[in-house]
Amino acid sequence: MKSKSFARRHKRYVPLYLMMIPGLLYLIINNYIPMAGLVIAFKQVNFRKGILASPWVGVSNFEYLFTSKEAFTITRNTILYNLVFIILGTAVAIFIAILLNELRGKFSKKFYQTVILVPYLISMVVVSYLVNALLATETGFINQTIIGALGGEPVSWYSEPKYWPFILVIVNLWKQFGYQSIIYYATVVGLDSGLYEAAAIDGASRWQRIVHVTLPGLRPTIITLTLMSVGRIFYSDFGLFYQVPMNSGPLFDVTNTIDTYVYRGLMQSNNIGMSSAAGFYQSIVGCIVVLLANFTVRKISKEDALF
Amino acid sequence: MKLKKCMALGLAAVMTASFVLGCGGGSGDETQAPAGDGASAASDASGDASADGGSGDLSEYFHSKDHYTLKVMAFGDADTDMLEKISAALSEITEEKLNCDVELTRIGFASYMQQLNLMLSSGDELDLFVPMADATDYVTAGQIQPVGELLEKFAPNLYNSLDERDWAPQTFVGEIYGLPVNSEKASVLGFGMRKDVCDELGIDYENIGSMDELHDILVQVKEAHPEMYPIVSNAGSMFGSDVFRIGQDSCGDTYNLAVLEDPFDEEAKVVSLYETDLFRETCERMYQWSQEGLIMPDASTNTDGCNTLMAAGKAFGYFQHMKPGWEREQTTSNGGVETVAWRYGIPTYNGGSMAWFVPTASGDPERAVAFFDLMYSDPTVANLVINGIEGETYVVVDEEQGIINYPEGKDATTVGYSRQAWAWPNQQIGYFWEGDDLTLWDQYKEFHESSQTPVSYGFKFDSTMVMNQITACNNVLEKYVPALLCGSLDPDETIPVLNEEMKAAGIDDIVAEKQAQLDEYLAANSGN
Amino acid sequence: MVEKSKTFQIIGHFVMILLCVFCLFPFLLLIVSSFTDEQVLIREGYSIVPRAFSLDAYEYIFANAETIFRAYGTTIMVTVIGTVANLLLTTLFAYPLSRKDLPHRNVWSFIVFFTMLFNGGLVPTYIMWTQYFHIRNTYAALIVPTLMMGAFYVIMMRTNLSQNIPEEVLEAARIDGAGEWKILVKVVLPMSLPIIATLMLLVGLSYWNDWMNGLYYLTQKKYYTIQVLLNNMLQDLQVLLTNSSAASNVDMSSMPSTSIKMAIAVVGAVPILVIYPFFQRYFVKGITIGAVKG
Repeated sequence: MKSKSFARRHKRYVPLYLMMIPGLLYLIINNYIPMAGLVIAFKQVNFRKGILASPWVGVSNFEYLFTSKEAFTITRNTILYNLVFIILGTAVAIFIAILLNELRGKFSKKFYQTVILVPYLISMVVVSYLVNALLATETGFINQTIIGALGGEPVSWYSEPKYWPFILVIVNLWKQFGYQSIIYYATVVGLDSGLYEAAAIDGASRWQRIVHVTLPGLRPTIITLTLMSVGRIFYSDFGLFYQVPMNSGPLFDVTNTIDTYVYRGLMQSNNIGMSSAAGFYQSIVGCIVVLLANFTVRKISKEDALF
Repeated sequence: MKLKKCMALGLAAVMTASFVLGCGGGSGDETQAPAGDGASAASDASGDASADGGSGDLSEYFHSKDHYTLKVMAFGDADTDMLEKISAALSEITEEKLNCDVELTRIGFASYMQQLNLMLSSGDELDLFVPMADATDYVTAGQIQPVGELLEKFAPNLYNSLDERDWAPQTFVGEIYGLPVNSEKASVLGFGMRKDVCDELGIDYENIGSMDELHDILVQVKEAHPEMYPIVSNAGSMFGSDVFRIGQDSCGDTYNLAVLEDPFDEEAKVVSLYETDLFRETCERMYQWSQEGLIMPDASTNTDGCNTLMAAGKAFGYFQHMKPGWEREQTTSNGGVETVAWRYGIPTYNGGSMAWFVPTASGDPERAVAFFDLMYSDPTVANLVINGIEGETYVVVDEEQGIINYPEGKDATTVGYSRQAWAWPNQQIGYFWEGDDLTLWDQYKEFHESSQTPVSYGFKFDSTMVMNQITACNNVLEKYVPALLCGSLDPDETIPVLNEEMKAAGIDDIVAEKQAQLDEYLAANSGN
Repeated sequence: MVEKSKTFQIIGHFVMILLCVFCLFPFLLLIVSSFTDEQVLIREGYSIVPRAFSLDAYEYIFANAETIFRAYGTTIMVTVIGTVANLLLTTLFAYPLSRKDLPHRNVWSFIVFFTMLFNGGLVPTYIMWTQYFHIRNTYAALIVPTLMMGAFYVIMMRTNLSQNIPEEVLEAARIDGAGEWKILVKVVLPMSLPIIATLMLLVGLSYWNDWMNGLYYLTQKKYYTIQVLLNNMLQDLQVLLTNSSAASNVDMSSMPSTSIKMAIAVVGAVPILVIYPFFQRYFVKGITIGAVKG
């Protein structure tokens, strides 16, 4: 009885399930089976015995993440930078996506779209050289050309922590905004043009159109992208926080994140248990935060929730 | 709901299966390798094997076994087709002597560590490799296997040419793991300089008496050549990261946290490097010099190598660890800017920093060890692995003395097989490179004889118990030490903060743990 | 109204041009440095005006022209095959998820999203692909792991489809007797060209820029893509320059280090910038078709 209704209910969806099979298989192979590796975080791995037979060590691989005095600083830095990146990045990307949509001029629009993607193409290592080209004390462009021309005192950028929160935010924004703008732009141009026509007939101004048609249309994308970034709130871009500040010690208070802390702590030893523990910790926090955020979204508007 | 349950079950099954199999690959191979068999064979064959050189018996022994393909890996860049040619040439020799083929893999420096770690962690088939880092972690993680029992039978040439002292650095927890490379076995602190500037200012570079004299010279250089930095850092590092960084003994690891201030002091008292007078004096000197403009600005965040800066005429000198022939090598590296040196430290014996290892997953450790011995003792094999193929990657310039160079129109970047002679088992039986000092190997011998052996020689620190403290201390170290050693921070202000944070990070635990292990080691070894 | 619009257009274009300068200025610095003589660069620092023109950096990179062009070829092949495979998998997976009537839709979405939160680490993934699929030192190594489908793309597409394809349209197609596959091909795909074009661009870029797969799964140089080759060159150079023992018998000054770093970035990025405008034609066309149909 029950199975019959089950079959009937699901029959319609067989083609849909078939469509999902290849992707599902891929996720199982590439992601789910290797997740067995999460046990490494709780073991003292000895490859001669094999990972499974290695001794369990409980949570001792995690201790170093919490016992240090730096634990607070690195957690604070990681979370605050990510929050700023999410908020500022989203705001700028939406602004540019809408602007691109409102502007006329076929050629110039194409040109802008190409150019804002340029920074995304450059790897963080090279970005760190570029930043160095700008900030180096003696040969740097800013000290040499700009401050020199204004007659100011050269600044020793790599030993002045107070500038770095801004520098890091600017560098990250510079590198990412093109990419994000393109994603939002794709959503904007995909919006139902009927709504715009209706708005035009009602005599809505450009501003009203943006507020009442475009922004609500972007809402699902904004929520989705934000939730996805929130899931990685305990992770940080290693290149941005390690290479761009040139691993400069005096800046650590504002540049040290969980990832750079773990790297500096373990770089000479090949301790796979402790590094896995760090990843596990970052994931579990991200997971909890996302579940909470998604729950909140669901309360407000069920449709927009991620799951 | 049902579907979900099925999926979950299926997943769990696949996960366990893959994990058992995935990592069993390594242990399976291990049981296959007849460890007991090899040991007993070694003991009863050792007598006659060493009597007539053993090679004939070895060949016979291996021909009675299955054919095998040895996988050998070393760092340095190489083109795929060149590697295939060299592997084929090697296999021709090993086919006869060891009844096996050789498959040589070379990977550039940048990705070598990563690839090696993946191979060692996944139980991939690999029989012999040279690491780029300290091997202690490979032992702790069970990624490499001991070879001590195989040496006498399968590597007679290596075994007979080394004495007990040479095996100490290769011994971990009482067993020999490393197959040592025949290269320099000591190093000395020094300061390298431009010869032309020295001559111009009448500097007697070989007989600088002290750091204070060096200071006066640097001041002189700064006045005469304001376009040069008297001292530059090497991509952010002032003294290099060697074990004997500023004269201390890092003592059994590479962390430079708990050290012996004087490597030769019999008392062997382990202390925190950052509380020593040695460290304070060095930082104070550097700070003073930096204030006087004798050290480049941004020294601790500089991205250029010292060689690049020398070649560009931006630098007068730099600190480095030295060995015989250093001047000649650096002159080449500095783009022909003739470089001379003042050696100020005590030459310290380290027993050789390079060794090859056999991974746990190797399918045939006996042949791996035997092939190492071949590279160590057979000039044809040594030349093949170091220099490649005559006429393609090198040409003989002087037949009599055995001097070679790149073929016409080729250079290091285009030849397709990068030459890292020092990393291979025995560069001393191979050809000389054009421009090499032909008496270099004798100088090495003299250098070794003139060196002193540190008290902690052969000691290996097991850091497992204090890893939490080490990670915390490393972060404190990175925060202050590079900048202090480059003279960018005021030691009077910074060293107390550094020590306070080091204490909070638990450096005392590391010191105590290391002292206990060192005492135990010294007690066990003083009897012999 | 017209006046107002004109002012808006002028200000808007001005803002965009400013942003373009912001993006391009460092890139210009990059290009100029890559063409500057190394020794001058070290002595006098970076400059936006070329001071001592030199092709040394490019000569160094293109010393093995054959290798470089082969690597370009590999990159193009990998990017094309990888992007097509990714979009195929992604679309097939995302469309059912976008259907609000799919049973347990949230569970399925969570299964996808979960892979973004947790991963088992590199070693298990490496074991999976090398020991069960034997992809080491094959072209598949550059295409299959990690990039062939990602939760990010699937979720992006799901969100976009569920928003932009009205249920009435699907209903109408169903009444016309179309099956799910036909609906996907004839109705959904044409309507979702903007997101497909965008994802194509993003996936294509990540394939073009990827060097991690090469780092993990390739030991033979002949399979290298341009980014793997350039990254190895860049990092090897760093090792050689800072570790003099590694570089015995190599004249460091013949390696233009700073300018080479810059030239490497140029060689990696410029082809994409050249190809992108051509690709953009289809990208924009896709968008208009989508907009009209919607």
